[in-house]
Amino acid sequence: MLATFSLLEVVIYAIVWAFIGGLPGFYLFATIDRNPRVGARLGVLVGVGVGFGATLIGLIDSTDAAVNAALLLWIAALVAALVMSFTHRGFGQYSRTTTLRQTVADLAYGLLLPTFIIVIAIVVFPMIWNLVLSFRPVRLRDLPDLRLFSLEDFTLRNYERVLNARDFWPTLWRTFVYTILGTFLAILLGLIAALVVKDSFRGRNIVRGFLLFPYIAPIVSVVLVWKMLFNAQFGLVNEIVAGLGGQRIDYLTAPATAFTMIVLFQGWRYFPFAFLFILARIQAIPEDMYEAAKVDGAAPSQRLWYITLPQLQAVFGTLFLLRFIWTFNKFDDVFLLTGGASNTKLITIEIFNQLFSSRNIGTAAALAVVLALVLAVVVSVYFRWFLVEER
Amino acid sequence: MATTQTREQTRGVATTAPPRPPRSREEIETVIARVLKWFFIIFFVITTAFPFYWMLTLSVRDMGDVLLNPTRLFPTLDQLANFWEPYQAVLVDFNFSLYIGNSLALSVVVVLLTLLLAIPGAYAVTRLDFRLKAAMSWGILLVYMFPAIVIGIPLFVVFSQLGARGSFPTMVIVYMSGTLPVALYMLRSYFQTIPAELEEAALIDGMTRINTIWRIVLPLSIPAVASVALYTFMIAWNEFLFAILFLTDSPLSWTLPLGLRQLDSQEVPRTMLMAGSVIITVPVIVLFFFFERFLTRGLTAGAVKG
Repeated sequence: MLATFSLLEVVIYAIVWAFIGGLPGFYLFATIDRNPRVGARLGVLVGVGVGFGATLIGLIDSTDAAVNAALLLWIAALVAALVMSFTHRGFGQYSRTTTLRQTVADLAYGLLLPTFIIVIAIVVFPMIWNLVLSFRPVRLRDLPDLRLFSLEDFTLRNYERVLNARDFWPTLWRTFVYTILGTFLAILLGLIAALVVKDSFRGRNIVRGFLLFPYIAPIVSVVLVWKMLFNAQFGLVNEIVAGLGGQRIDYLTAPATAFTMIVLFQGWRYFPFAFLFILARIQAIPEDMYEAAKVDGAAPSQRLWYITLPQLQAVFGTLFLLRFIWTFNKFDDVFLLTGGASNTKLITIEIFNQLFSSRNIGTAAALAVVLALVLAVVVSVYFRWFLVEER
Repeated sequence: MATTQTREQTRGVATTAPPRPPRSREEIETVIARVLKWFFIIFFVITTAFPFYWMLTLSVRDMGDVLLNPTRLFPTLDQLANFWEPYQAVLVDFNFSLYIGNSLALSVVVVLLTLLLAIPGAYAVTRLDFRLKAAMSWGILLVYMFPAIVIGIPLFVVFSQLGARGSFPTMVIVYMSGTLPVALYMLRSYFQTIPAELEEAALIDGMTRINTIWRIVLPLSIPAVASVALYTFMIAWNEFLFAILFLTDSPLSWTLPLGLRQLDSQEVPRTMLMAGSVIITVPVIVLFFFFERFLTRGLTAGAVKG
């Protein structure tokens, strides 16, 4: 039975069962025997043993059967834990005298384990698998009967196709420009907003509340309002422009303006994020620094330039990094605003198109890998440069 | 700096003898700053609040009226009196009442599960000492910044394979890939600000760890937990990428954002879309105003991914 699977599949299968088996075992011993490490080891063994054994003799031949087997394991573990809690005895041979340090560490692993498993399952695992998929010729129509983990059909064609696509480099470049301009705009607007709101005035709390609206509102509805405002026939902005003697343009679809619009949207929607960070930092600058500067005769603009901005340097660094990363792999904003038409196609949108228009999972996965790699390179370069600067 | 100082001093002497002294740089700049400040306050209020006001106004007007009078800023009394009509159309004819239920159920379950997992996890990473601590801390940061679309493809494939792509548990799990890292990150930042001495005192007095978390750490963290709950709710409520990836072909499970998006691609009066937008936006804004105090603090403590 197992012979028909590739080595990779068998390994993955074993890991899955180790986790399914390890978890109940862990808690069993954590609660009863106060020895979760041995419990986890035993749990992994039981999990792999039961899972593999049942598969080998043919008991598990479908996903449903696997899920049932896992549930049975869990129930068995629970029942055993209950029985032991009534009899007040564990498997004595595993008990040990523990130091405080070990107890604390055991507890830490216990508290982290569920989170750890979920994160592995929904982030790390897919990440690895995305890499596997990117080396396989997989299309959307292969889906229901696709062999999950296998590298027998290994190919580099997806990458060839992605990197040789006519608009790959322009798209990558556009994504960069969009990310950098959008990030700068958001931080600049956030800085201005923070400077404006830092001292109290009447209605300050309300204004501060308004400032966060673009960021907290659902993206779909915000995009629809923008589409209304900038519509060529009845958009308010166009009416104003026409009233001033300008030309009516459908800003979001015209090739000349669409790219500017997505950058503006990026600045508008995400400046509140920068604003909050910067405001928090500004308010932490000690007042006597300003007092001292004032005594020395520094004018407001000098106080801004020589005190406030230098104090904000670290925040700018963090903000730039965070916003850069998130803008670079942002999908929904531009997808909803323009759908990637009129010179606004970004890498993430191309990934989506590969998946649903070209119906090609392999190339979509390859492009996603490229995206992650580019991002990783940029971030590590940034870290290097930034850390050197700091010193 | 030194020259300005002397100038100030001489000016101080000079004022005793009129005529009017020349305005100092300080005074001029203060005036400019004040003007700029109010200019920008008005600018920001218009750019941030007006689109939402516009959404509200357009939602009660009919399309013919909008085409005829695109610049009318207020709805007529007649339109106000019948404001319910477009909402009824959206809620009943276009199934938005169903989507509200879907979105609400999904968001609430995601929030509860996220908190259940993130509170102990974040506590362990900040307070307890164990060998993999640093690695776990880095892991949280890494996962926090990881592109959702890279995770999206394989998750899409695996759940299609299992035949469970649009099911409720699938969506809960998938949404948690967005909320869990954020919650962990925010809570971790918050726990770091709680002085450890309190817990140490309790431990020395013989309280168990679990009891310490329950009786001391949690009560101290109510603001943080509240803000995390609200943020994860917002993330789940606003989520679009996973909804369009996983739910497109199961219309009965559509969430509000997806429903609204699908409505957008139909031949529906544009103003009706505004009614839909109001329905989806209002809960978030209301929640936000109720809990603003917590939220602004929470945001800077860890921020939301987006």
